[in-house]
Amino acid sequence: MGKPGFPALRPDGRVRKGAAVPKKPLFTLSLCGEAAYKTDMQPSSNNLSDSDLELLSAYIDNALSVAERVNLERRLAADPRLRAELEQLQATTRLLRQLPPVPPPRSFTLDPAPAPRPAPVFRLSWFMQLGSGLAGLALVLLATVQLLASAPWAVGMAPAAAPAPVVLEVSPTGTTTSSTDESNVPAATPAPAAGIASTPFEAPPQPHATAPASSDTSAAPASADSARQSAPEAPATAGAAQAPPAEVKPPPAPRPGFPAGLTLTLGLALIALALAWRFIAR
Amino acid sequence: MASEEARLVEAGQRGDVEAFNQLVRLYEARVYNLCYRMLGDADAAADVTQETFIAAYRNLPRFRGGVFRAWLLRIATNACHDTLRARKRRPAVSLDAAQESESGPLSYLADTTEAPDETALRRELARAIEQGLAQLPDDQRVVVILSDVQGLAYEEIAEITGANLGTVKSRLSRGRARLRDFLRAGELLPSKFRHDDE
Repeated sequence: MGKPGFPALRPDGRVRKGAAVPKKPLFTLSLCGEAAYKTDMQPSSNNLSDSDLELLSAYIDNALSVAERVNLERRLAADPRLRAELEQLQATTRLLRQLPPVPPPRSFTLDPAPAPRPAPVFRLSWFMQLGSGLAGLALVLLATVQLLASAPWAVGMAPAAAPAPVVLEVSPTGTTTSSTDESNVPAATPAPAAGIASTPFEAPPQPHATAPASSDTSAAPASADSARQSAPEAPATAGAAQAPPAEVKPPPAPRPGFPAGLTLTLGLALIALALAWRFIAR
Repeated sequence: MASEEARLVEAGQRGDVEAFNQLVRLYEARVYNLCYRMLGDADAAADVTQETFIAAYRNLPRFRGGVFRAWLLRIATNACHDTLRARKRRPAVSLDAAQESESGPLSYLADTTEAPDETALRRELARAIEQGLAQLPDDQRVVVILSDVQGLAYEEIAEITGANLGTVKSRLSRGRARLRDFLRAGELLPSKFRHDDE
């Protein structure tokens, strides 16, 4: 049966309005009268497999390989049920293609003035964000170092810092063996801490006028040493052992904690700002 | 043509709004139609279309070659999916939207040179197809629209939807079959669409 009537079933590719349609148009918009699209669609064998449906669908789009197409055309020629399916699917796609485009209700062009210029804003914000983030981080690091160095006065933080115990050994009554224990950190701290704390970074050469020059300078390097190199305990303790006489003298200065705290706050604020900007900016 | 488009894209990447607007004029009808067919609602389609172009302009610096149209339609498709998802959370909106297509948006189909019943038929048919499209699952609908309404090739559809070719083909065939079933049922009782489709 196939050959004579068959060409009508060939895939028609992208048929547009007005293009030639296969012999028996199932739906035709141009014809009036309901019969034009009402008929021919009733009975259908709905039990095609998914793979057959896919074959038919690809056949409509001319997307089968030669072998697949030849094979399918052979089946179509022999199977009216399959052919009816194809015709209905073709009719469906034809209807979809004939669906007239909807004219847009307005123009969607962007207004040049308020339109955000993406690139510059984007880069600037990135730069600022990165800059303030890094600055904040640097400040926090600085403050941390400062706090570590001056650990004794910052009682709560002392145990975490390596140099702290070494310095602390100085403070108690001179019995170095017992003082290595961290438990007596809080008790020992106040007086010597303030004296040593201010020395390393604020004014290394002559921190306190009240303290005797000789002993104070010996104490300062010792603490500076201990702050910088945390590992070597022997030299530090040795230096510290000479210090005790001096340490009692300087009265606790109230202000050494201030710069570190301020630096830390500032640094945290900058980091917070950098993070917040990310959300504000979008 | 393609090189002109590439030039406009490049200018747009440098922040040239006017160049970008030329791209908008080139593609706004296509984007709007895609959104309209996806959402079945003129107002929502206009909103999503505008959203699409704004997002495209913002993200243009990140566009690295390829087919601009596919890139743009991908943004539009994603925006439509977002809107549909939001709608599912608030079902009342989708009911309104389905009703809306009955009057306004279809008025463009009226053609004064046609006989009245011809116009009526055409409108009814278009409405039937729209309703058929509306009842397809979202992932099938987008593929059917891109392929059969907009006439794009499988490869570009795969790029737009982010699915592979096999998935595109199977969604298309299932979508077409389902639409065929819908139309076939409707053809018997054309006036019953509204009661049947829920």
